[in-house]
Amino acid sequence: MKRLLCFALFVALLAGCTTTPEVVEPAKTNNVSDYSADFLREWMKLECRIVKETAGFLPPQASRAFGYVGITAYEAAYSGIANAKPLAGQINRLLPATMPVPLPLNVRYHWGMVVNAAVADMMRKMFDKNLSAANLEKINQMETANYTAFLKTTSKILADESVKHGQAVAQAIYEYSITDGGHDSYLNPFSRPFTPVTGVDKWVPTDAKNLTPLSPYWQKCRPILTSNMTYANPVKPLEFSTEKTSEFYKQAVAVYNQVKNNTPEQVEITKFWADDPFATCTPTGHTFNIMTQLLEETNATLEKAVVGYAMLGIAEIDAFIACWKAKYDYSLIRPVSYIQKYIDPNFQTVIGTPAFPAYTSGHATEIGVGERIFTKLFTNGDGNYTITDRSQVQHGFAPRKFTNFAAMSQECANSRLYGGIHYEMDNQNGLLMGRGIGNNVLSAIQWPQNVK
Amino acid sequence: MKVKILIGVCLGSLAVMSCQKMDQTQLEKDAQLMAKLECEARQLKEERFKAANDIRLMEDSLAKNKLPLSAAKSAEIDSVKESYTLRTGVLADKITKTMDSLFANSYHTPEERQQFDEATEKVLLKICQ
Repeated sequence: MKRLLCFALFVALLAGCTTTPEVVEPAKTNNVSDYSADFLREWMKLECRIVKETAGFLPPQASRAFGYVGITAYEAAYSGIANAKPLAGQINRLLPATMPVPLPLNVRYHWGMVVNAAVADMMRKMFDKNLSAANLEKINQMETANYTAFLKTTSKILADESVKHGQAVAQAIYEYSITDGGHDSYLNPFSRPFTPVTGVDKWVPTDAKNLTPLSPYWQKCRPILTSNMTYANPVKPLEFSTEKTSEFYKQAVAVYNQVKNNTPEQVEITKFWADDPFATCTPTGHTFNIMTQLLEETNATLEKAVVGYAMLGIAEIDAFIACWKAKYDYSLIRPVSYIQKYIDPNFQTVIGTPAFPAYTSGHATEIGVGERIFTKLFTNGDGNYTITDRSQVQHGFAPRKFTNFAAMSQECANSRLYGGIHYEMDNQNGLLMGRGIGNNVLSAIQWPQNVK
Repeated sequence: MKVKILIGVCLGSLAVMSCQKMDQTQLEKDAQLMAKLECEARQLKEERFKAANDIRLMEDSLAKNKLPLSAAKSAEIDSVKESYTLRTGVLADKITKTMDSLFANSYHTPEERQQFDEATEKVLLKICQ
């Protein structure tokens, strides 16, 4: 009896020493793929709106803003994705030592909170000096609303750690971005004063407001992948000539005839892809909107969203650097200037010609990268996907339907010919550049596979 | 027994038919709502492109006559652009939110969305000339 009493007391003592009386359950998984991407898609829509409303965010500057936000979202969340590697150590001069180290995996970050804090902070930093008070308020409101919603599913301590990590990643990527050559370029996007090169084959102003071309030093920006510049080195444009039998003249005549004989459908295509006057968030924004739509309609999780936006972001940044390098290497005269001088002085394009040289087409280059990345993420490699691009419905366009991403990018490239904005060589070589960059972004970086 | 089964089948069919009818009514209602907004956006788009074209023609004529763009004219152009950007932004926001909400709540599959697009376009053809 005494023995039994002693044993019972001993057991009671042991039990009293235990601090966690409940049964220990095996840890639940805490992968980025367990989280919804809804909130991140909303961030990207907000970024589109801010690009439209913020002075100085023209196509190159916009590609940079979207790109770094995409990179930040991935870098903040990669440690919660199985077998994912950080971009630090894989992309140009982003050193692992400069990045905050995520806490061990047994610390259960709320990945939604991590990404929310990182993206909010990066957006404030990207638009910085030109961010209106109203848009700053929108960013703050969205950040708080997401935080409050997420807080219901985690503890305050873990929420604080998650926010801290997200903000630390944003700060590190921002510091990386400062040295890329494009920092603050939105304050003087035309890099004025600038004296354009002159010559019979050279770009001349196409409107009275912009007498110098856009971002003439953009090619000096640091690419995210140096190898992209090799893949995106286009062949030389056709030799300039005013001879009627020359290939160059024929390209100009092709533009002229196309514009003269456009069908109403072709005029609509021109405007649809033009990312039209005063309204849209530039070609990069359009392609990001398509990504957002694809993520939504395939029920992609936060995992696929951060990977997708990072892939596209890196590729878009480098597409614009490479394209702008070609533009200023050759400084080629626009079709409108050539045609008015040598073919028909009364020639008018369908839409206004942007203020920078012709070769190669920015639209074609940037949609080329989109094509490759969408093909990788949303198809088995053949590019077949029935997409109805509704991103321009908000701007008064009917949705456009495609059954293959290559057909979509080809239409975007063709739209510049229909508009009288580009020669055919600008479009086709731009597409090749973009596809080269897109493929290289997919292969040169070790991305996590089979993301959900 | 047979009569009971027959009544059951009839009632079931009626329920399915009324449900389809309700869906059709909802589709028409949603399409009407979306078409109204899209019509506004299409009209604004036409205005925007016309304004851009007017600006372009004015600039072309200055360039042809080798005249500089005055600071006042430049400010006027900026103000026109800003006004259109804001108007377009507000409307775009409204359309995006409406479409997102309809898709999230009622039109989930690509087929349903395609049906919705077609219904909207049909209304647009009627109301938006």
